[in-house]
Amino acid sequence: MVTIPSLGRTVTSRVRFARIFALGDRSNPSANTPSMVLMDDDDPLEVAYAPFRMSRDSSKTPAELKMKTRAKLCPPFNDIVTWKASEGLSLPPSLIESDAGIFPHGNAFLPITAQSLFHDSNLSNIEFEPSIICFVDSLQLVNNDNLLIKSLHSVKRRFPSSLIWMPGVSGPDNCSLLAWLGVDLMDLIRVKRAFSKGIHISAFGPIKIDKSMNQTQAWEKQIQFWKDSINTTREAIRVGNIRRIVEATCLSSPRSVQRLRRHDNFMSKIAISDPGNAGLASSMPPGTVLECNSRDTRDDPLIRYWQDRVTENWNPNPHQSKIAVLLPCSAVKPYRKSPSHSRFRHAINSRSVSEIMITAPLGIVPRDLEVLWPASSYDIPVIGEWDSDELHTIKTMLSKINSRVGFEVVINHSGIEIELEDTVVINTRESDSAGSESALKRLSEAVRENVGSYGLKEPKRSVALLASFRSISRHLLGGDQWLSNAKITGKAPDYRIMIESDQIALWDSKRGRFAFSKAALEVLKHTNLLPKVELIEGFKWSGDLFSTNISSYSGSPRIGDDMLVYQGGILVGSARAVAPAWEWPTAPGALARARHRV
Amino acid sequence: MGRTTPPKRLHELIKAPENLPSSIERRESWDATKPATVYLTPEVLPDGTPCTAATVILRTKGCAWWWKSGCTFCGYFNDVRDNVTLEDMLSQWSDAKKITNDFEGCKMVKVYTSGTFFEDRENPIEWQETVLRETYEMNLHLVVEAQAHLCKDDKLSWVSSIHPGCTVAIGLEAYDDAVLRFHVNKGFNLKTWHAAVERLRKNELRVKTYLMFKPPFMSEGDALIHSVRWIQEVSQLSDEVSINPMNIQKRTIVDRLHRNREYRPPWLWSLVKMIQDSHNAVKESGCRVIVHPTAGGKIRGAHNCGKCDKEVVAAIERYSVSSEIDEFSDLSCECHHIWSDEINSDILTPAQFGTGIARRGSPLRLMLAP
Repeated sequence: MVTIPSLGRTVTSRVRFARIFALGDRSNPSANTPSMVLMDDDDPLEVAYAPFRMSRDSSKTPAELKMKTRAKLCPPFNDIVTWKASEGLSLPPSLIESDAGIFPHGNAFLPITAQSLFHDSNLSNIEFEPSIICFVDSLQLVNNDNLLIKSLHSVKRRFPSSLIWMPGVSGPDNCSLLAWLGVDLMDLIRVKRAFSKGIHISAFGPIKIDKSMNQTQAWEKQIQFWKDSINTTREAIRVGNIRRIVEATCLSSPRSVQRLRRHDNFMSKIAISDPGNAGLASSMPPGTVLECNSRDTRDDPLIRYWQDRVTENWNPNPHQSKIAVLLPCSAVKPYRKSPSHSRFRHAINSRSVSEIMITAPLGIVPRDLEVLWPASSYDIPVIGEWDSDELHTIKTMLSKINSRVGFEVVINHSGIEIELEDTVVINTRESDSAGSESALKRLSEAVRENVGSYGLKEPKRSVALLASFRSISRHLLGGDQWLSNAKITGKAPDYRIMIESDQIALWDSKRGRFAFSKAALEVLKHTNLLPKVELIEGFKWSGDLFSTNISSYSGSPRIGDDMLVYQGGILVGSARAVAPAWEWPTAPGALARARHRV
Repeated sequence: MGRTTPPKRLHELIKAPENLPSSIERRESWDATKPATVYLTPEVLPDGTPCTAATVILRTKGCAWWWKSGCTFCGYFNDVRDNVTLEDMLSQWSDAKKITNDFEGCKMVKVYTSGTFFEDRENPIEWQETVLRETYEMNLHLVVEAQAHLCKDDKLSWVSSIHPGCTVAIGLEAYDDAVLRFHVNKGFNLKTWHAAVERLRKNELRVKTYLMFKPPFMSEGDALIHSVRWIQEVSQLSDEVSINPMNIQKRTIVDRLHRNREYRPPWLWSLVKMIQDSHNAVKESGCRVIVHPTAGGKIRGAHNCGKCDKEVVAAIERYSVSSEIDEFSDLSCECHHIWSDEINSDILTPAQFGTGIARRGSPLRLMLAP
C-alpha cells in the first residue's frame, strides 16, 4: 500500500478559528499560514507567502487537480510532493437537496462542495486527516452566508487539522475575515480579476490603480498589498487582536460585514451552550485586552456568552441576596482598582450588598466576576451616553436576573433609569455625577439604611471571600462543590484556597483563574466539573498532550481550562488546554500542557 | 453536515417549476389553435444558396422526454399543454401558412414542436403527414427536430418516403457522455446519437446537430475548451452544427441558478473564440456551423460589457450565414481582456462553476469582497 505523504503542520498561534500553522519541519518551518496557493500561470512568490501551487486539467470531465508543495513540506522533508484529486461534478449550493453527480474526491488534498458535505457519506467515514481541503464551489457558496458558515464549521469540526482553501474569494480586504472564519489559504485569483479592470484590492477594498504606474509597478504594488495583509493577519493572530482587524477591514464591503454578523450569530448560539466548540478561552495571558471599538463587537460570541451566562446563571452570594447596588463601570480594570470604585466601595462600606456594574458591551458585571476574562480586561470608547441597544441589553439582563433572584431593594447609582417589577429602586445619583460628594453621600445612606432595615449582618471577610470564589467557580466551571470545605487564606489578590492544611488551589489574579494544586485533583475527580482526557494505554506521559497520545476526551475544553488526565481509567494528573474543544482530538501541535502528575 | 431528508433526484429539481402556479397560469393562457410564433430569417440551403426561411413554432403536447424527466435548461414546458388536439395542430399549421401567405418567398421552413416532430405520442400522425407532404409539394426544404433515441428506422424511412432529403435536427448539446448525463440530463448518450446519425444517413436525410454552449454546472472556461472539441468531433458527422449559447429561460433550473448568482450566460467573446478555434476543422469537414445567440447582448442571453454587444452579436450572426472568419477581425473592446482573464482563471482554478462575476456596472463595486 502506497502511503500518501501528508503536510508537516503545527498550530503555533490561535484565536477562535483563526490559526497560524507552521508548515514543514517544525524545527525550521518553510512557511506559515495564512498563505497563498499559486495557480499554474502565477508568477512565483516567496515560499514563505505561497507554499503551494495548483494545476488543473480541464480537458477531462470531471477535471483533475494537482496540488504541489513548493518546498519540502512533508515528512521526512526530502521531496516536493504532488497530491492528485478529482474536482467531481457537483451541483451548486442552491441545489444541494439533490445528491446527483460525482462527488469530488482526493486524499491529502481533498476537494469538497456544500453538496458533498451534505450527501457524501465517505466524508464521515474517511480515517485520514486531509492536509488541505478545498471548496470547489466557494465562489457560489459565498452567495449563501448561512450555508457557507455552516459548511465551514462542519469541516473545521470534522477535520480540525486540515488547512482550508476557498479559491477565488480572498483578497487583501477580506484576508483577516476569512482567517477569522477558519480559512487558511488564499490566492491571487480575485486580485488578478480586479487588476484586469484597472483596480487594486487594498486592505480596505478596491481602489483605482494610479495611472502613473506601469503594469509591472502596479502589479508589484498589488502583491505588496497582499503581503501586507497576510503579515497583518498573522501578527494579529499572534497577539490576539485579529477581531479588531476583521472589524476594521470588513467595512469595505457590505457582504463582509454581513458575513461577520451572521458568523457571530451562528457562533454565539454555539458559544452559549458549548463555549469550547466556539473556540472561546476561559482565561487569557496577562495584558490581553478585548477591544470593543466597533458596534459589531457587541455581537462577538464572547460577549454574547458572557451576557447569557451572567443572565441565566449568576446568583448573588447568600449574604448579598436582598440588596443590589448598581454602579457605573470604570476605565481601569478590574474596576476595583480604579479611584472611582475605591470611592464607591468606601461609600458602600458593607459586604452585605451585591455590587453590580453596568457596562457596555458586557451589560452586567457582578463584583465577584469582574476579575474574570473578558470583564477583567476590555476597552470601549466612552462618549458619556448610552445608545438604545446598550440600554436594552442592560435593562433586559437586569430584569431577567432580578426576576430570577428577587432583590428586595436595588440601589441605583449607575445613572441609568431603571425600573424593576416588585423591587424598590432607589436612585442615588439624581442629576449628580457618580463620584460627586452628594451622590456618594446618598449612596452611603441608602446602603446603611437598607442594610439596617433588613437586619443584614456583616459576614466575616473569610466568609465573604469564600462566597466570592464559589461564585467565580460557578461561572468558570459550572459548579462549586470542590469548595464546600475550603477556606481562603493569604493576601489579596493571589489568595490561597485550602482544605484543612492542604492548599488545593491558588487564585491566579493576573490570568483570572484557579491554579489547582496536585492535592485538588482527587477532590475535583469527584465533581465532574473539569473536562477529562484519556491517554493511550502504554503511553509514557512526560510533557504536552498531542493527538497521538490521546485515546479519548470528554467535556468541552476551552483554552485555559484545566483537564483531568486519565490512563486506563485511573487519574494520572492534570493538564491545561491550549486548544479549544473544536480542535480536539486531532489538531496538530500541542492540545494541552502538562500541569501535575499524580 | 449530513442530510435529514432523502436526497432528491436531479430530475425532481428540473420538474419542480412546472407545477408552479405561474407556470400553470401561463400554460392555460394561450390559444391552442394559433402557433406560438412564426417568423422569417435569412438562411442558406443545403447547396449553399442563400434563401429566406420561415420558422414555425407550434403549441404542442411537448416532449416525451420531458414527460419522464427533462433537460436541465429546457423551458418549453411553459409552452406545451397535454390537451392539444389534432384539430388544434392543423389549425396552427393553417394559421402559419396564412401568416406567411403559403410561405411566399421562402425556400425553407423549420417546423418546431418543442419535442420530436415524428413522435406519435407527441404529435398526431395525420398532422405529421400533412406537414411533410405539403412542404414537399411546395418545394420547401423542411427542417424538423427529434430526440436521438426516437430516430427509429421505420419512422425515418416513413419520413423520407414523404419528404425525401429533409433535415432532422438532433439536440445533442454535448459530445461527452458525462456532460450529457449530469449537466444536461439529456436522456440519451453518444452511442444513441451515433446510431441515430447512421440511420438518418441510411434514409438519406440530412443531419443537423445542436450543441449547447455553457450548460449549467460548468464554468465558461471549461465550456470553451469542451465546445471547441465537441464541434470538431460533431462536424465530421453532421451537415450542419448549430450552437446554442445558453440563455435563461423562465422558471427553469438555469433560471434558479442565475437568480442565485450560480450561473451566468456566456460571454459573446467566448462564442467568437469558439468559432475561431473550431473554424479550420469545420471548414475541412465541409460542415456548416451556425451560432444564433438568443437574447444576445441581454443579461439573460450571451452578453459582454454592454458597450460592444451589438457589434459582436452582429458579427456572429454574419458568420452564421457567410462562414467567413474575417467577420471578427475588426472587433475590439476593453472588456476583451477582462473576458480573457476570466477564461484563464476558470481553466486554472479548482472552481467547477467558474470564477465569473457580473460584467456590467461600476468596476469598483463589482470588485468589492464577495
